[in-house]
Amino acid sequence: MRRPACGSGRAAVGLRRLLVLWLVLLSCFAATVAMAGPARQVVEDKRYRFCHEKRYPLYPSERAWCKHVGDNNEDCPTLRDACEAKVKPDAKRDSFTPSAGGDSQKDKQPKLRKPDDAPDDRSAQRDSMKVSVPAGLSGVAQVMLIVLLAVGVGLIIRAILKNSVDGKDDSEPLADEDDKPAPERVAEARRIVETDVQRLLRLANEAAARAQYDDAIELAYAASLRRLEGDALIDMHESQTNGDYVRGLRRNHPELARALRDVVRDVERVQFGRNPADAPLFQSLLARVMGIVGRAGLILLLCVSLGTTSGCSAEPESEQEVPSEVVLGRGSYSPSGTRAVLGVLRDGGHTAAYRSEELAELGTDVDALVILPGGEPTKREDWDELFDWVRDGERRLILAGIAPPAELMDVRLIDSTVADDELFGAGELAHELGGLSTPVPPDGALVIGDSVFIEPLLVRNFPASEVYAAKRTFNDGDVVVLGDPQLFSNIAMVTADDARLMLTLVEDYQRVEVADPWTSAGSTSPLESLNNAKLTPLVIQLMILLALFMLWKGRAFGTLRDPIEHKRRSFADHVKALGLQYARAHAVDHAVGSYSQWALERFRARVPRSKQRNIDELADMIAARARKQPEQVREVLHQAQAAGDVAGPPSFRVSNVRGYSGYQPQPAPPPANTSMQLLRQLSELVAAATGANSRRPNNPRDND
Amino acid sequence: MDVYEFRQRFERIRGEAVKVVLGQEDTIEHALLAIFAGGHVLIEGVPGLGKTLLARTLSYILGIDHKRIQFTPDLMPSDVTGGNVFNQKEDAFVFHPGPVFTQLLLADEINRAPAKTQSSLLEAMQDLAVTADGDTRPLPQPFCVIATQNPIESQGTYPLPEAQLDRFLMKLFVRHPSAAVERNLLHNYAHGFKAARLDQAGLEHAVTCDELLEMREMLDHVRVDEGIISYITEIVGKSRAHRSVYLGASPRGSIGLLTAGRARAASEGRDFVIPDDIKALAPAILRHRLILHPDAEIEGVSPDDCIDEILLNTTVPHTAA
Repeated sequence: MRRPACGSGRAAVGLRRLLVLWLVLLSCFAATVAMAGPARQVVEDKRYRFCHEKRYPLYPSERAWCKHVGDNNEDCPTLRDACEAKVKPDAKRDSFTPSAGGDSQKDKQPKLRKPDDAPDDRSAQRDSMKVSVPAGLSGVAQVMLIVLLAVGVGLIIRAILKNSVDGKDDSEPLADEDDKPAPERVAEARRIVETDVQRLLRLANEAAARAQYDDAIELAYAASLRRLEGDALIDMHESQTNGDYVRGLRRNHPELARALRDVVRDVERVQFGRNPADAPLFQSLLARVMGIVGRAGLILLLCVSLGTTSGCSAEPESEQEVPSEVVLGRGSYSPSGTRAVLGVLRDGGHTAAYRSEELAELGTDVDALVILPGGEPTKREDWDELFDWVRDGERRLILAGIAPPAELMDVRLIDSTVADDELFGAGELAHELGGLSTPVPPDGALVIGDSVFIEPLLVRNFPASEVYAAKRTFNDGDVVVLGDPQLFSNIAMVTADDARLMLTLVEDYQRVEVADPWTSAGSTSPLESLNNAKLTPLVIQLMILLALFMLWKGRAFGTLRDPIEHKRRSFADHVKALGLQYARAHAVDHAVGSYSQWALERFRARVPRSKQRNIDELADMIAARARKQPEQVREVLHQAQAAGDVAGPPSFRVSNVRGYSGYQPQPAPPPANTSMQLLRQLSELVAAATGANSRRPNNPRDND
Repeated sequence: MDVYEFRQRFERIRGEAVKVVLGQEDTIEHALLAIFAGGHVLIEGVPGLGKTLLARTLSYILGIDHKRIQFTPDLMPSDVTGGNVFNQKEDAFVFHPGPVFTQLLLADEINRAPAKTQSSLLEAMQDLAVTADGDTRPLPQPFCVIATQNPIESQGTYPLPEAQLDRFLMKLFVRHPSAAVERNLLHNYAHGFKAARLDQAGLEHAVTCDELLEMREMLDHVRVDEGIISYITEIVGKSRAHRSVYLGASPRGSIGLLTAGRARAASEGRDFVIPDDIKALAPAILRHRLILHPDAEIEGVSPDDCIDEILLNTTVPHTAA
């Protein structure tokens, strides 16, 4: 009895050890998690390439953060390597320049924005050749342009591949042209399915130069047909005559049909008539062929010119249209982006989102609003509304690198003049930041006016007087102004304790929104969206082009084809057709007679030969099998025999069967109006006596 | 005479014909081409579409004599060709020419007569002569048979034998007119037109008989390129090898394509035949010469379908494709 106890005691000890080990591991893991920064889980996303690529290129302004990254940054392990790699980004291409850094905002050139959720595609200059996008185009137009370019490049590659794989007939003859005698080249060109219009014309001219006008005229004519085929106006086929091509054009392109008919007339005169081909005829014909060939070129030219006009329309009309301020990319994963800020806020328990609606629509659904450069109101009344929103509740407005109107809050933005990166808490934050390291590279600072209601919140070079952040209270709400927006950047979230500082600023506010240049950039209608994207001229021109195309090609862009006719018919169709033929020929008697003969044969096959000496005996046997009245069956069979005698060939007639003992004078055939009735009765008898399903039961159409 | 004059006359004839026979321009053109090519025409259509009117109109415009035979089941060959009758006064047999001795014979409802009566036309249509009691008598020139038949009725009719069919240069279909054409037709009748009195319909004799013969002779000068001959040969050859065809076109069909192609070329003012001529005429010339397999007929395949397929698979000469 002890052994189990002893065993259970060992198990309990083992369990305790395992539990202790698990607790130790758990505590270690918890410690690890506790030591990690708030942004650690956020930047684990591979899209934050600066935290996963050792040679990630950084801008000088981003490098200013490097001295605070630390040798062993667990949140962003490769940032140190990126700082040391000193790989330069492609300055022409990259669209993001942080607002912080060495350059003043005023000196910075306009940059392109990045769309929401755009990946960080920053790369080093030496990486690869990149496509340069015209600076005047809007974001959507850029995407469209790039897509168009990609499609174009794809088509060119496809054409090259196609020609290299199955288009050897085009290239090889060209290579051998100089080696072959001219007549052979002409013959070869004719044999090969030639599709190059210009080459055909050249061969035609060469043939004419050799005084081979027959060949020259045929080649020139072939060039015109190829051009028309290339424009999808005709379908060339070896069974098509010249007249077929002319007729094919006549419906939608009468003017082209006339031109081609003139050409065809001369060509056929040479090909099939007695007219000799000579130089004047060739020249005359070539001129008309060029008219046809050049017409398509004219249309192409029109398209190109329209396309060029469209492209020009996307250029900025004036310098004022270009955004004059540097914007941070919404949702960018680059060091200067802001995507990680939202991630940290969410991980910190806040409800964080970018603001899409206009600031004027701010309501009670937002507790704290962070406005980044480019997202601030442009009109004074909008500022008033914004500050009213602050006054109306327990809310916080954070202006990152933005100075509000002096009447509302008397602070000015200046360039930082100190060399110290570290920020220290002042006012309500004096004790909050104790023990935290919160460096932000010097870029912007604040000068507080005479207002006594404004208190410093963050300062540099403590206890000196450069203020980085200041706060003013409005009723229950307050407004915090920061010297620059660097604190709300991805790289700040992985640097020292800046993420915690940022969280501290919005600590008491659950619902946080970030306003940036994309705020209120959304459109209320597709037309407005088009207009915002500067695509309206392009769309209008495309519509004009389509209208012209429709006028040119007609309502149907493609070649109209008749639907495929299925000629195979079902068995039921054959039967119906046969029935119709009988009905048309009024051959009811014949049909009933044929059916009667067939039914009698079936009956006879079911009855022993010794018991069917005459029709009455057969009827009795069938009546017994079908459980019908014998008299009724006799009457039906007599009528059937009479009908069969009338309809069948003479050899089928009972009276012609030599030695048939049961011969009796047959009654007259049934009148036509009872023929169908006889047919139905026979059918029922066949079904009952032989078990054959000659009629579908319960078919309502049987009574028709 | 040259092709331009031919074309002018042809247009004049056609212009007169369309005054009376409305909505049948293609049929008129094909029938005229057949007449100029020295062939005969079989017109198929339901009653009342103007088949007889077409034949009478053509004979009137062409200025040639015409007769009509209503084919019936009891019609005898001698009723067509004529025969020797004993003349008691002269104490000898005297040949009484039948209605076939005319320039344009309208064989109305030809499939109502039995095969032996239909066959009485064989010699007349091929050799343009009639043999009776050992004497061969030539028919007047030009000679042309325009026969009609009704495709609907089957009782009491006798299908034309292949030999008879082959002697027709063209088989044409007459369709129901469109509503607009029918309205015009009724307007004509409302204004006094009577089909039985063509002389009061304002028609003119567009050509004389001699001019007609002259036009026929002119066709011999229309050039036929070697490529056209190969094209015809290929088409006819493929008709014999088509999977749905039991019996293909005969050499007479090839000749018909050639002669009718010449007539079409001249009617368009050309002195040379082009592939379009052959392609346009092939259905009318070949459709009655093709006998289909029974299974193809059950499948709903028509000779015109086969001809379309053959043309689609035949390379035209001097093609640029």
